[in-house]
Amino acid sequence: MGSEDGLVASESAAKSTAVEERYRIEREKFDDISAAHELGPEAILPADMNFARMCREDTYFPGWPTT
Amino acid sequence: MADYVGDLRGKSVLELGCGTGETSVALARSGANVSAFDISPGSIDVARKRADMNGVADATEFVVAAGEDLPYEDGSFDVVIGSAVIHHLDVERAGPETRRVMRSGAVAAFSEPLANNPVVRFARDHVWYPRKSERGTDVPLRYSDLRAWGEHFDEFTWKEIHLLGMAERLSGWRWKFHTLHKTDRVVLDHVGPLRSLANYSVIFARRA
Repeated sequence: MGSEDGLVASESAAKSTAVEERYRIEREKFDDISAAHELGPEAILPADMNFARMCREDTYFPGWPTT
Repeated sequence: MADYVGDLRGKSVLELGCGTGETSVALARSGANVSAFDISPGSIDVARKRADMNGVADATEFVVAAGEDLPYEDGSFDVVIGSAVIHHLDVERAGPETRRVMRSGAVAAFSEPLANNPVVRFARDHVWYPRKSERGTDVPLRYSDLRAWGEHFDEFTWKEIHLLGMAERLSGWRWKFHTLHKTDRVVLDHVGPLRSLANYSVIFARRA
């Protein structure tokens, strides 16, 4: 392997490690959040709730306006 | 967003970063066949249970995956939806992947936090408010990130939202300030310089 090939391989390995680390952090964060998430009766949407109404009423999250 | 994506009955819809599945269930309730993924296995477990509780398990399919490496065939979807997910992704890799799984003529709509307002940036880093989760690797989007995302699609636009309305974030979204949102729409439509102070965006994209 030439020196340039070695450099490319090294950079590629570093990038891959960084990606895996990012995935690990995100996975752990959201696994923790979901572990505390108990699905009670409120998890059942009203019979007439759908995506359009969720957008219209900005029901769950910011960023769901009718714009 | 609902207006942009149109009638979802019978459509193949992908939700990027579905979390615990609230939106996926609502999409299925609108008549869509929903595929959804998340990086978190725990979130996917909750999403599957939620779909089952809501009677839409047959219309939803949840998998653990990363947005930069989608486990779907080329051209699989009519519609792609994402809520606060792009800012968790590597835009340079996830953009082409999202385009790849969209059919010709497919549309995509996202809502994403913006990073332009210095007061909001300070609050995100230093101020406690209800339902504020620990920061992961996510980074709210700058205009350059929006443009980089848009380069992967044939039509692309965004709209800033939540200027005064961002006050409801301080309540952990328990309070809804509809009047402020209505005011925001007027203000942000007519006073261009204030748009960069909004803390959220809705993003629309289409594949030709």
